[in-house]
Amino acid sequence: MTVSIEPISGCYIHLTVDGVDYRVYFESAGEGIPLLLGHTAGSDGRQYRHLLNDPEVTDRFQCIAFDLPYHGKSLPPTGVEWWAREYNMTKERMIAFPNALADALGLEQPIYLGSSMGGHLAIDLAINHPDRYQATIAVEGALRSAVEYVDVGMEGIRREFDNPNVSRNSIGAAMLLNMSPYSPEGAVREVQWEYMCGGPGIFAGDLFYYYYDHDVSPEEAASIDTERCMLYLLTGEYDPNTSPAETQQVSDLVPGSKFVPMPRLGHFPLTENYPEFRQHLMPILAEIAAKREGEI
Amino acid sequence: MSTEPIVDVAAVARKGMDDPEFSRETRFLDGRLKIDLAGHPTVLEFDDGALVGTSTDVPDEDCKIVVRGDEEQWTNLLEPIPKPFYQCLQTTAVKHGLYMSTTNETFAYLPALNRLVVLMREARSGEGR
Repeated sequence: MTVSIEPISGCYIHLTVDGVDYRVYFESAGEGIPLLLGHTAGSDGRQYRHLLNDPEVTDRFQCIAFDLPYHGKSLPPTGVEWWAREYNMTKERMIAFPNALADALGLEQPIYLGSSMGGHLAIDLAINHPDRYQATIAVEGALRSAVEYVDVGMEGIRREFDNPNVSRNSIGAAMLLNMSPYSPEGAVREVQWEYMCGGPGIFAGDLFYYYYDHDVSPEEAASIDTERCMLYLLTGEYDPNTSPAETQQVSDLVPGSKFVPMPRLGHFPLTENYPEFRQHLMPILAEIAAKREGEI
Repeated sequence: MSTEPIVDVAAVARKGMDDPEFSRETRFLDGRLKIDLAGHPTVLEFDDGALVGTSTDVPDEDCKIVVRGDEEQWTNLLEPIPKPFYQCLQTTAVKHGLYMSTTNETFAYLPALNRLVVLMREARSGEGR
């Protein structure tokens, strides 16, 4: 019998945010430049399994894929009556968790890569914490999510995604709208599976940040100093929530940023079609590593 | 308006009851599902997940789920490899104006609707014959 163990380790860490103790799960692989990996709304760090198994990445980067509280293996916090309140993710909390994790692990000038709401966060981190991160990589990020979805409102979002009449299978089914017809079906189904596994009301609550609390003005975007924190942007052709045209707006406003449109990819490129995605990612990681080495 | 619908939805649905995914995802469905292809409506009537009848003229208010689009919307949606933002019903609705009801059943049976579109694509391209 052949035994195959992936070079990924997982563990729990306790982080204190706003006076609350959170038991947070993360998986890590590789050594070198710290690379924090933030997942999409309503999903978890399993989305990064392909990257964590990519030796070309892990040879040079210490990759850390974390589950935000209430996601994946990061349970809701004890000591808080979370069941008695409606869950909504905010920009403040989105920013607080990767910062707290980086501090707790003693990471120096990490790179942050996030997808979807994590991609939006990459922009918010570059604006608000440029000296904490060497660079941020926004996968499917924009100033704001597409207006057609924003206009639905939280009531409409909860009717579709946090409705006792509707099972979480439908959240997985809805993710089809974000994906590319070129993506392998097995990978598409994996994205959907991860969405079907989410906690009750969590995907809808995450969308509060994704559609409303993340709202970057042109002035804020223009204030990003890419000498202090480089901003990379990658967006798939089939992403209706943040289209390449919407990401281009960010790139146009941020001097020195780099935008890579990704033909034939959708909103979940890291899971949907990693072999295709990595072709766009690897030159960025090589540039980051070269800059890091040049500064040592 | 073309004289013939671009896909025979009733035939696709009848055949779909032998499709493991479509038949599973329509389980327990009670009521009518209306698919209007550019002015050619087809109404599928379900009873506890069984497809018990089809018709062509039932008012929207008597249907649990309604999907309605014009020829351009359906033609693009049913391409084997759709161009961006026609990749599924919901993208075509949000970005190109296809109508989808917002009833609980519409959201609950979205997995079935998505599968039906795949079966319609296959029927249109000849794969499903």
